[in-house]
Formats: sequence, C-alpha cells, structure tokens
Amino acid sequence: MSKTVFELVKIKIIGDISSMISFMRGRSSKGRGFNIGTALIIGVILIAFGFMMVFSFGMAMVLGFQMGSEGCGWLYFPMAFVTSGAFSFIGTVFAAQSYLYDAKDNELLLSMPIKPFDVMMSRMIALYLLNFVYTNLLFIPVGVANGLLFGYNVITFINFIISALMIPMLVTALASIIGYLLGKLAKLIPNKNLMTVILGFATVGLLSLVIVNFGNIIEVLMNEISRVADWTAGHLHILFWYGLATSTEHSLKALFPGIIPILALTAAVSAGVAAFLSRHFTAIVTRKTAMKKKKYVRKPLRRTNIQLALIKKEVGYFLSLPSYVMNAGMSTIMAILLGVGILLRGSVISEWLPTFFPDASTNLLGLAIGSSLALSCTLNDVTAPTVSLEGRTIWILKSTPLDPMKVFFAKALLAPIVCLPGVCFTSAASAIVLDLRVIDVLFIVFIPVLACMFSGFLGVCVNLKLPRFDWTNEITVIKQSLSVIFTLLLSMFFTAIPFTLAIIPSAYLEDFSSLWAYGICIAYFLALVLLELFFLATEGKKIWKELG
Amino acid sequence: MLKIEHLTKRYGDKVAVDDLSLEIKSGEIYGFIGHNGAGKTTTIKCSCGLLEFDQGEIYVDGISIKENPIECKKRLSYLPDNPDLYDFMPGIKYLGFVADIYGMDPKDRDEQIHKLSDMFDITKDLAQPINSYSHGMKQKLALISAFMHKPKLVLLDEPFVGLDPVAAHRMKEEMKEACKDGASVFFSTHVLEVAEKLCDKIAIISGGRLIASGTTAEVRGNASLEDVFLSLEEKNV
Repeated sequence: MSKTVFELVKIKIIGDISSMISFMRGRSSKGRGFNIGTALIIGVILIAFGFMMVFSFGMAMVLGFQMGSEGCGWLYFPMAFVTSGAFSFIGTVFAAQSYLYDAKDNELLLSMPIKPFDVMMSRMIALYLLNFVYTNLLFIPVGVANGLLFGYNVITFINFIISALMIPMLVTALASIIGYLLGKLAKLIPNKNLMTVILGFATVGLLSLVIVNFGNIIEVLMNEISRVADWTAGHLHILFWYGLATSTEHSLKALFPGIIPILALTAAVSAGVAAFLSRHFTAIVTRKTAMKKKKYVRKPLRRTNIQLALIKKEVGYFLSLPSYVMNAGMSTIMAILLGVGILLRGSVISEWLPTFFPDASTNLLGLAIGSSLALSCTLNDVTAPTVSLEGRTIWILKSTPLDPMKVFFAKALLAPIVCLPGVCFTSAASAIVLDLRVIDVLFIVFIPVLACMFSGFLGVCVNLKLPRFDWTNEITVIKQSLSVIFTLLLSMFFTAIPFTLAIIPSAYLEDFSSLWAYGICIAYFLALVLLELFFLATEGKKIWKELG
Repeated sequence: MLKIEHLTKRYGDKVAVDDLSLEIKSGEIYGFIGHNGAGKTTTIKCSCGLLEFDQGEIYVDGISIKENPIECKKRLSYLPDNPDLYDFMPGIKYLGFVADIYGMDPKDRDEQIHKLSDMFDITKDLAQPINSYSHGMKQKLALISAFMHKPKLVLLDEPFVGLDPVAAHRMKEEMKEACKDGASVFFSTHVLEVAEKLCDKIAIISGGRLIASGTTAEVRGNASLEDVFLSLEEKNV
C-alpha cells in the first residue's frame, strides 16, 4: 500500500480527534472552565466505555460458566464473534456512508494526482480503526473472561488475537457495501428525512425492546445453551470449527479447519468489496441525483408576525435534520411510552403507589405521573445547539431589525413544541385510565410544559455561553457539543430537585396536601424560568451582540 | 443616510479599521475599494450593526446604530460577500420569512418578490429548497431579499461575485432605480471598472485607513481608477 494511503489515514484520524475535542469545548479553548468541561466529557466517555467493558465481562463470565458446565465451551468464542461483530456493525454502518462516500474532501482529493484506490483505502482503514475500537470494547473483556474460565494455550491465544483483528475487518467490508446500498436505496425514497427518522426510531425501539427483555433473553439462552450449541454445530459449520479452534481442548486438531475458512472468508469479502468499490469509487462519490423539480405556483403570500415567523423557522430547521429529530425526539418517545404504560397497566400503578407509601395522606398519582413526565421531557436537549446551528447564517438574524429576546423565545419554545405531543397523550391517557381529579390532570399537563420551558431556555442560555460556529456538519453541534451535554445534565439535575422535595412530604406527612406539592413545583419552575429570562435579557443580549 | 465618524475597530491587537469617517447621502451609489484585508467588510459589518466597534459613531438616517440598532436596521439591508441562507427552506419561504421580519404588507411583498424574481430570472425556482441552488442563484435570492422591502440604505459586500453578466447588469439597474427613489447604496468591490462606471462616489481604504474619497471624477482625475488605486496603494505601503 502506498505512503499516500497512510498519510491520508493520519490526516483523517488527527482531523477527527481534533474536531471532536474542539467541539467538546466551547467558544474558546482558553480558560479553566473549558478544560473542566473537556475533562468532564472525556470522563463521561471513559465511564461509558468502562461500563460496556465491565458489562461485557460480566455477561461473558455468566454465559461462559454455563457453557463450560454443559460441555459446550467451544460455543464461547463463536458467540462473542457474532455479538461483537453485530454491535460493531450497528455502530458503523451509517458511519461508512459519511467516511467513504459523503466525505467532504473526496472531490478535492480525487482532483489531485492520487489514485482513487488510495483515497478509498484510506477511508476503509480509518473505518477499520473505528470498528476495531467498537468490536474490542466487547471482545477484549470476553478474552479476559475466557482466560479466567477456560485458560489459554499458545494456539488459542493467537486465535484470539487473530479474531480481535479479523472481526473489525469483516465488519468494515460489510458496513462499506451495506452503506453503499443504503445510500442507493435512500436516493429512491421520496421523503428521505421522514424515512430516516422512522428507521432511526424503529432501531431505537428494537434496541429498547432488547434492553428491557435482556434478563429474559439471557435466561432463555442459559436454559437452552445446549440446544443452541447443537443447532450451531449442525447448521453453521464454519462457526463450529472456529469454536473448536479457539477452545483449548480441540485447538490443535481444529486449527486449520477452524481458522483458515474464517480467515479466507474475511479476506475474500474484504478483497471483493475493495475491488468493487475501487472500480466504481469515483463514479459513486461524484454522482449527483437529479432532483425532481417542484413547480412554483404563484399565490398570495400570507403575512405572519415576527415571533411566529421565527418559531416556524426553528421548527423547519428541526424537522429538516433527521439526526436532530432523533436526538431530541427521545423525550417525546419516552413520554408516549409512559402514556402507553398507563393505558396498559394504569390500574397496577394506582394500586401499587398506596401500598408503597401507606402513610401518604393524599393521592400521589398526579405528582408521580407529572414528575415522571417532566423528567422524561428533560431528555429533550433540542434548544442546546440552536445558537450554534445559526452558523454562517447568523448574519440574517443579526442584520435584520430583530429584538434578540424574540430570537431567544423562538429557540426556547422549540422544547415545549417538541414535547407537547407526548405530554398531551400521556395526560389524556392518565385522565381516561386513572381516577384523577381535575387539578391532578391540570398539573400533569402544566408541570411538564413548565419543565420544558425551563430546559428550553436553559439550552439557549448554555449555548450562548458555549457557541460553536465553525462546524461543517450540523451533527457535530447536535451530538458532540459541550452545550448539549451541559444542558442535558443541568436540566435533569434541576428538574429532579422539586419533585424530590414535594414527593417526600407528600408520602410521609399526614397533613401535607397535594396542592402544596403542586404549588412548590410550579413556583420552583416559574422562578427558574424567570432567572433564565433575566439572564437572557441582560447577559444574553450582550453575548448575542458579540456573536458571529 | 449613512454617516461614519472616526470608526475604529480592533481584533485583539490588530487594528482593522482606523479612525475612518465617511458620509453617504440619499440617492448616492458609493463604491468602497481596497485590497483583501483592507477593512472593507469590517466597515460594512459595523455599519449594519453586525459588529460592535471600539471607537467612533455610525448613524443611519440620523439614528445611532449603537444607541438604537433596531431602528437603524429597519432602514437598511445588508448582504454579505458569501451569503449563506437557510438551506432547508424553499426560496419563496425564505423571502416570506424576510418579509415577515420587516413587517411588509401582503400586497407589497407579493408585488416586490415577483417583480424582482422575474428580473433575476429565478421565479421558476422559488419552490425549490435553497440547498439545491447554485452559488449564483443563492446570490440572486439574497439580493431580492435585500431590495424587496425598499430599504433606505443598502449595504452590499462584493455583490457581483457569482452573478452571471445578465444578473449583474440587472442588479446595477436595480441599484440605480433604488437610488432614484431616494435610497443609498454602499458597496465594496474589487471590480474597478464597475465602480468607475456605476458609482457617484468612491472611497479607497488601505490598512484600515481611508486614503481617498470623493466623487468618482475627483478620485480618478485624469487617470483610470485602476492607475489611481495602484499608485495610492504603493504610496501607502
């Protein structure tokens, strides 16, 4: 492989890392506050990685022990191969599209005296490295658990190392070709954004289902491990022999029939994909799809007031970006799930609460549902990137006769607008299924909206303090900016406080009326919103003047 | 219409604009010339309230941009050198949005949008999302949004970049027509021939300082504007 490929890989990796660190920071890289912020995010990422590795290790120990005791220890590595490969594939199939085909510098590089094959290979190697990290977050703990459960000999250890290198290679090849096919498919779909959002939520729903039922899945797997082993041995010979080659008992006997076919399969798939893509790479990355032109029909334009025009602009931007919808729409999904839960199991909840809090003088249902709904709304970080998202278009709002407060309001209102469908659905479900008073229903509607207003304004305040305008792709500010993470953590923290303060006396004090609890929560959020408005009207306006 | 008094703007230690004073009267087309980094864009951005400045004053129609930026902005429109617009909106929605911000009445906005979009030949593309527009089409849309609410002062930064010859010609006509109606146009350009032919007055800026200003004839004298510009630049270096 030429030196250019490695140069390009180096540039890509350094670029990705510096862009990630840059976006984790705020407007400036100077100052202690920003270093603390960066450290905080790195800490969160490390904790998430650590959690995954510990989780994977625990699962491997439990399943491995069961396999060992039922005499099918050979199934241990094949199962790890499939699981870590699938996890890595899910993590990178969409990244393949952006790494390989939608990279902004593709055309620039192809116009230079660099072979298209070199450009493509550099992208695939970068993708391989990403896959390597994803795969081995699960696979390395599995290897450690294997050492503790079954031990290693020289052959099985080498096979483990080969697997750790080979799985990401196979996944890279598959993700690259599936990414290409998905890209082709997306061009055939008329409403691509809507389809992406539906598919995104379907994937999240499926994953949630797996997570919710994880205990059951593991239990079934443990009870049926012998049958799974028999079925694998009977139907998936390549995995069966791979399993034998990675188990100490049969490693020598199964070395060639176990490792060679899997190595050959990986090499053949990788080479095939590389050959296909290198042949068509220039055509793929430079192809432009002809868009069906919408015919303009002259009709009188309606007049809208300034505030509504700004709100419509914010909503339009939000709906135009599937990644934005999926990121912020989780709160609505959570709220709707809560409503579905109430519709299906409402009677259980209403019976369970008095049993759990026998001393409660008052009906806790309103407070419990209202607070759960408000907390689910705090998962909504939709306003946290709104200032940064103005990017290079900020001149439009800043050079027109607009009071900055109107701009801030439009941005902040996006939060309750996004949450409203979920809040309305759950409130309606509660009113129908549970025996609630009118005041309880009003609280269930009013308090999440207030909590949304609080988190909406908080997002604008935080983003004004930590804006980024040097992005090239909106996803970086929507997903990776410090502003989003701070808003999420702060809004969850501040929203949890009043409910804790209101639920404890409601549950344990005999004379504590639920009206008091409602009053505390409402006063608390109103006070916070007023504080945010004060900040925006003073400091916020000053910052806005300096932006851009 | 636009009065700039002793404007000074610094970026850290660098002085971008240094004690610059200018006055643009109603009905004038005023060209602003200078090499890259001379301070043209900074001066224009300060004049439309996009940038804060360190010293001096700027008045739009007699109103201080520092004291009352919103009143000033109601009277002006600004177009940057590379206008990024809301890519997710169709062209017509963007124009509707700008019309809403300026509070244009429905009849007026309808007339103006269609008159200008016909003039710049993009009416048939107005239903398309802006992200499908070419650079030139975006420039045309931004020009329509700048002129449609009939501002008293039009501030344009390199307005001819990306325009085809027909559109450039029509824009010059629109600038002249706006000035006939009492508006003023202040624009920066590198195209000296355009400045020479189009402008009533010209100002030359170098290193943040104004080195020449006056009517085009005064600045040019007997030489061409290009010769004058180059010799002034040389002296200033």
